[in-house]
Order: sequence, then structure tokens, then C-alpha cells
Amino acid sequence: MKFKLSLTLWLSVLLITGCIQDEPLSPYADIDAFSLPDQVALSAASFNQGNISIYVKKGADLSSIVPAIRISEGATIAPDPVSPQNFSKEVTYTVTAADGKHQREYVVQAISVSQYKYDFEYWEGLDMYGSYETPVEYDLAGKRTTPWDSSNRGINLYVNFTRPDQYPIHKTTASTSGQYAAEMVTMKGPGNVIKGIYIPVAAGSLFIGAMNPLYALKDPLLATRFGQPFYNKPLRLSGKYKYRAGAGDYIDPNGQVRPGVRDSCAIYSVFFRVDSASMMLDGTNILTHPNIVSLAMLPPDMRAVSEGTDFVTFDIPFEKRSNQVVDFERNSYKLAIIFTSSFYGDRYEGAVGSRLIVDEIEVIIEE
Amino acid sequence: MKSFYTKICIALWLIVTINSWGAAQGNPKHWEYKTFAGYNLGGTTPLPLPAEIRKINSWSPGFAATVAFHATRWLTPQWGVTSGLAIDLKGMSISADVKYMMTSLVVGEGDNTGTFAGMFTGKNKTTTRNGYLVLPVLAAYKPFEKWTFRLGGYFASQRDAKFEGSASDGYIRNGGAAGDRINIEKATFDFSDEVRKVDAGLMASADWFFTNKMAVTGQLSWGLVPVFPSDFNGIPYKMYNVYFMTGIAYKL
Repeated sequence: MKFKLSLTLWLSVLLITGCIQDEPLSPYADIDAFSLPDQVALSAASFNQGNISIYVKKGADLSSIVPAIRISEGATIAPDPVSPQNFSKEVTYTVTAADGKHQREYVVQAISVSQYKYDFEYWEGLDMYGSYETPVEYDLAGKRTTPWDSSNRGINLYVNFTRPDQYPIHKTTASTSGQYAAEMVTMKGPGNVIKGIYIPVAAGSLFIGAMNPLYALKDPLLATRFGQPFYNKPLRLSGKYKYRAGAGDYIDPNGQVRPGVRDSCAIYSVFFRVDSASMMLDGTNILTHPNIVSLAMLPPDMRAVSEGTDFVTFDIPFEKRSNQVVDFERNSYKLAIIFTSSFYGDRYEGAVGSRLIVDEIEVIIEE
Repeated sequence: MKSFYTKICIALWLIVTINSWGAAQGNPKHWEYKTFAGYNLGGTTPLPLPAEIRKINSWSPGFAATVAFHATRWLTPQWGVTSGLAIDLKGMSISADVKYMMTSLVVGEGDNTGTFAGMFTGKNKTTTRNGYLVLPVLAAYKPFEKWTFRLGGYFASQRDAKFEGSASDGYIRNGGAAGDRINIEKATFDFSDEVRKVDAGLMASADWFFTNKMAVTGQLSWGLVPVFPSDFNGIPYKMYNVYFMTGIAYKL
């Protein structure tokens, strides 16, 4: 009898194992890689969620270009990627997953004019739910570009805010020109995130580049990827800012209070040479990488507080970090601009309530 | 929790003692009492297996025992009604490869609590061990001297829950299929507090008496109430307690 019972048991185990269903069709609808032919392209494509930007040669004929696109296995894409498109304007591709249910839209923007001024007038929900906003830009040719990303994208992994202004980076009407400026606030973090990382404090940071959350749980510093192609030598970084450190305790990465420590902000720009078109700097090397040519950083006394109650103008020179000669014929370069409401926010430390507003940012270039 | 089980054990022991004393006093033959103990093999599992589960790498029952007392009132020589009480530990450890599995994990503490929701592909390991106090209501049928079969249902009250595990060697797509891809080396989850407080289902058993007093017993309990409430999002499919117990019964 016992034998029979265990036999039944094994039969049921076999039965259940035998019940493994057919593999579900892939729900992924990604563009994994995108490029334009070398005759027109200056840079690799940079992805910022559903936006793909790619720098192209000035004066190149973009009216009939066939891109190279790689999409998720089994997915389909429209319009047909082998048919030529007019990239002198935005081109939208829609990818449909193999399961037929999931779709993603990608907007491709070919950029031929470098941008030097940022006024934070236009904000959009770039993520799939549009739950937070990120500044977008319109370059001198009137083309919409998406150079900015922010720590909102990381915060959005675990919070469920209902309004964009609840996120650490948001637009504010306290501006010096136009309607809006960019505001960053240091918030209380979630603490333990699925027992993987500990985040006591979440600073607001806005930067040129794109977040890649792939390694966000293992090493969050690798997730912030800085820089976009830049075709001029930067001389100075100027703009207007207002900063107040949070009135509360300064919290260290372990969640402990550090008495007597005051928070400070960071405003800086890094100009660096790239070894490959896709190279970017990240949180681990943005201030130390040997490829850094020059760096402009708000001096320490200005980082602690902005004088007075109004906006303060800053105009800081790019200082040489290495003796390499800038040669746009032989090398490619990128530029990153980074603002954060807590200087060491990337290490998850700072004071809750620290608040930085920036507006009218300009990179002054060598003509 | 320990004290709860202790109390139940004492109560069972008292019932057993009183009844065996009663039996010794010449208790009427149409009542029959039985205690049994056995081992639960099975799973807290979705049925059928959803397509998200691609491969079962390992399964082990862990310590999952049943101790029970049954009273049967024989209405005719062949037919009767059985009820009683049991302490049932239902548990297992399972490791599986999953693909495109929607999950929602609560992260953070206090007023900064949020949810991390997404579609996971990778390895999933789950260990569950839930303690129930079970009340069966069964029809008993004795076609032959040595055999008794029972069929009916059970109600169970969950007294102690453990449902935890890990997600590893994979990635999660934040928010769903179109979300950012985030690698997961290892993340743990604990849904113990979410396990439903009640369970109910079908029960079928067979006793084969190899002596006058002792029987080999087998009992299938098939839960019909999902282990997690419907507003729970940690696991995208309904799971049920489906366990088969083998054990030894003793007629008092």
C-alpha cells in the first residue's frame, strides 16, 4: 500500500512537471540598438527612455536615410526599418512585441546643432507612465531634444507619487527668466530596498546623460551615465541658482545623524574625450576619469548657500585637468552638466529638505 | 505560536484519554475514534502551472506533518459521518525558472513605504510552511472490514504562516514589459503576513487496517481558497494548498 501511495505521489509530481506550459510569447517591444549610416552620423545613438537622439553632420542630406535597427526577438516594427525615412524631422517607430499585446514608441531625433543654453521651460513625462517630469529642450533649429535625465527615474522605481511636483526634481515657477526653472529637493529615502541596498536619503539630481538602471541595485553609481556629444571647446559655465541646505539633520549612508555637518549643493560641468562613441562617465568616475579634459565646478563657499534671498549668478571657468590637446578632427568629446541638491547625494547622504533651483544655464564656448 | 500548539496537543491528548477510558467502559459501538499522524507531501501551488513557470529545478517537502483526531459516527454498518480536529503543517521548498512573471514588492519602511512592481525573469526560490488548525467534515464508507474511505471537505484556520524566498540571477522590467530593465542578482521577499487566515477545500482519505487497531492512512486535501487574498500582487496567479498525507492511524 505504501508503495502504491508513493507511486501515486511520484505520478502526480511527474504530472505537475509535465504540465509546464508552452513558453509564453515575449512581451518585450524594445529597440535595442539604433544607428544611422556613417556618411551622416557623428555620434552613437543615445537612449533616454522612448527617445533616441543621434548627432549628425552639419549640412548632411537626411531626407532619405535607412537606419540600422535591432529590436526585441520576435517583435515587429513600423514603419518598416528598411524603408528610407526623412530624418530632418522627428521619426517615430512603433515596436510591437511578439505577444502582440505590448507596444512601445520610440521617437528618433537627428541633431545637427549643438545646444549651449538651457532654460528649463519645457517639461515632459518621458517615462511610460508619465508620473514625473523631465526638462526637454528645443534647440536652435527648433528640434525637440532630450538631453536631461534625473534621479526621479530611480525614485520612481519604488514610490507611487501622484503629482510630478512630489518628485525630487520638478519645475518651479520661481524662475529668473521665462516661466519655469528646475528645482531639486533632497528627500527622505525608502530605507531598505528589497534588502539589496539601503537608501536613507534621496537627493535630487538633474544631469545631461541618461540613467541606466540595469545595475542600479548592484551599484547605483553605475546607473547615472553622464555626457552628450559636444563639438566645441567649453570655456565657462554660467547660470543662476538659489540654494538652501535642509534644516534637518545631516544623514550619512548608514542612516546615522552626523552632528554639525551641513549639506551643500553641486553644480558642475565636465568636458571629456571619448574612446568610443558610446562611452559615458558614471557616478564612479565623473570627477576622476583620466579622459577628463576640463572641469567647471561651483566653488565651495558658493556650494553651502546662495547669498541673499534672491537668485545668485555664477560664472565659473572650465579648468584644465590634463595636458591633452583638444582636437576635434581626431577625437570625439562629450560634455556633462550636473546639478544636485546634496553634494554627496550619490552616496545617499545629505539633509532632507535641501533645495536647489537653477535657471538660465549656459555653456560659453570658444568661437 | 508554540504555546498554541502545546494547548492543542494537550486538548487532543485529553480527548484521546477520556475516550479510551470511555471505550474501556463499553462505549456504544457506533462511535469510533481514531488518531493519526502523518507527513504532508505536496505544494502550495498554482493549478495548473502558469506559463510563467518554465522549469522546476527542485522541490522538497521540508518538515510538514499532520497530527489529527477523528471521531466517526456510524449510522449504518457501512456509512458514517466523520469530524475532528487536526494540526496541519503544509509546506515545501521549490526552486523554479520563471519568465515574465509580474510581481510587486513592498519596499521601504514607515511612511516611505512604496512598491517596486515589475516583470521578473530569472530564478525563483520559495519556501513555505503554514500551520493550520483543520476541521474536517467527511462522509465515511466502509465497504470491507479492513478498508474505510472518506470524502468531504475541510475548513482550516491559519495560525502560523511562512512564505518567503528569493528572486535571483535575472532581471526585472520596472512597471511591466515596457519598463526599464534592472538586473537582480539576489533579492529576497517575505509574504508571510499576507497569507490568508482561512483555508477550505476538499478532502478524501483511505484507511487500510493491517491490525485491529492500526491502519495505514492516506489523505488528500485540496484547497479551494487561494492562499493569498485577491488584492495581493506579489504573485500574479492564485495558489492553492494541495497536499497528500501518508501516515499511521490508531483506532481507540
